Amino acid sequence: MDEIEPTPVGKFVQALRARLRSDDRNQHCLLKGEISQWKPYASGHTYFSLRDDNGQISAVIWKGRCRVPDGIKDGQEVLVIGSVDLYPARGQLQIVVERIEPIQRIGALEQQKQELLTQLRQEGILDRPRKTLPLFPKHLVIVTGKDSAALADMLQLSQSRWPGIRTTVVGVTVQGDRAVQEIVRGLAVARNLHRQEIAQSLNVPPCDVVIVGRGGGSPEDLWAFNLEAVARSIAAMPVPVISAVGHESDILVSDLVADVRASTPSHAVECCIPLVDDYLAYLTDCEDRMMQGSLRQFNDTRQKLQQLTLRLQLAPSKGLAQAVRHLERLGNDLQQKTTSALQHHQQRLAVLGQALHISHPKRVLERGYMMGIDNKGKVISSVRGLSQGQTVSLQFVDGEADANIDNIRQREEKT
Amino acid sequence: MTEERYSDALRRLEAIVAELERGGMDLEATLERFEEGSKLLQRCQSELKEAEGRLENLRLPEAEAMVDEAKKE
Repeated sequence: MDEIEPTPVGKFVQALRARLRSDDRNQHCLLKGEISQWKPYASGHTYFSLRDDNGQISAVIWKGRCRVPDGIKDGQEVLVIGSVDLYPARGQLQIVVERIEPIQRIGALEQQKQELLTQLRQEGILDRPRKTLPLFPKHLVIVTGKDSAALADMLQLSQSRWPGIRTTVVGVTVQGDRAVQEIVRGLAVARNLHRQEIAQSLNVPPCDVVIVGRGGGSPEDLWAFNLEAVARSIAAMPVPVISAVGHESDILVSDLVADVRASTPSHAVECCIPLVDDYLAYLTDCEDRMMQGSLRQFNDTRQKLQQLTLRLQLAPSKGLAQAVRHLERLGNDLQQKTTSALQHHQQRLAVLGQALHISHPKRVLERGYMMGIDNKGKVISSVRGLSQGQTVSLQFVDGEADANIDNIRQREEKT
Repeated sequence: MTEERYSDALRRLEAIVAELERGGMDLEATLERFEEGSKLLQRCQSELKEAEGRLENLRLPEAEAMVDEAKKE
């Protein structure tokens, strides 16, 4: 009769373990439950049970295989990603934890973010003056996810805007436990590349613009950019930093701290790299305008010079003509003034003449008066000097007659 | 030349162009501005070349090693 060979239990357990592990349904399960019997060991491993009202399973976090969030304790509701395993030594079924997050973690993180923002505002970091971007970077450093789609987009865009622009990419981990540390180290590389002596030794211009960011993801994925160490690294950067995390709607602490916030990684490239053709065209335009402006100036000056020369050449004859005109004007003036003076005198003479005419003795005689003239031909204007028997001549208007003086009667003078 | 000084150069160039376009300058001033503007233009154009360089796509440890190496020199 065929005997059934007994299977050694250890072999059985090992085979069972292999079957368990080969089933994909047992791998990387996402579980929700409550922590109980949380026991961190000195070895660095942590053991606990994940339970709810309907069942429970043992769980282990191997040292260094998964980051353990602070503050986990019994009763905490958590999300666990882990794979089923059988611990052969004790035949114990357990979940080997790959990731563990407290369920209210995001709410708590949000609160931490707000506290951090308050702190940064109090320190004046949020309100500090921002550095302005250069016209174009001579050495752009990009700190982002290594081999990420966001990086590929940025490189493609930057090469199309300015082919051959000098860029150093520092590929880091942008999510998970190591993200914060790596982003901070990536920024430190950028800061070093800004240092004159290091840039010189690498034979490149010092880094003058930094883009730090990543493509879109869940709030948890982006969370590193909400943390203090990253924020402080960005704020302390000696060159302008562009924060470009996720999509338009994601606003992270890094965005609020950076010198420039770009809505997406591609937008960051647009912010700091101009279209080289536009730039060249602008310089050419400046050159043309400068040429044109200078030429016009030269022409203006030449024209002015020509005008001056012309005026200079014409100056002597022009001067004579002017003198002649001046003389003519003077002559005219003189004639005019003389004429009017003459007329004035003539008029005056006429008036005077008329006056004279009226007062002429003859005119008086015409009115019936006579004029006595003595023998010396002098007009007799008084009885004094007359003597009896004297002969005087009486002048009439139309002749004269001699007369003898008979009587002299002098009127007494009134005193 | 730092970036700030580069921006200054471009601003100065723009000012000179505007001045020359406005006109009303004497010959000497025109020549002076033209000469200065030409030098600034040359500077701006040569600066463009400085932006050209290699793309270094490094992982963090490589980048850190590069910087450390440079520090030693």
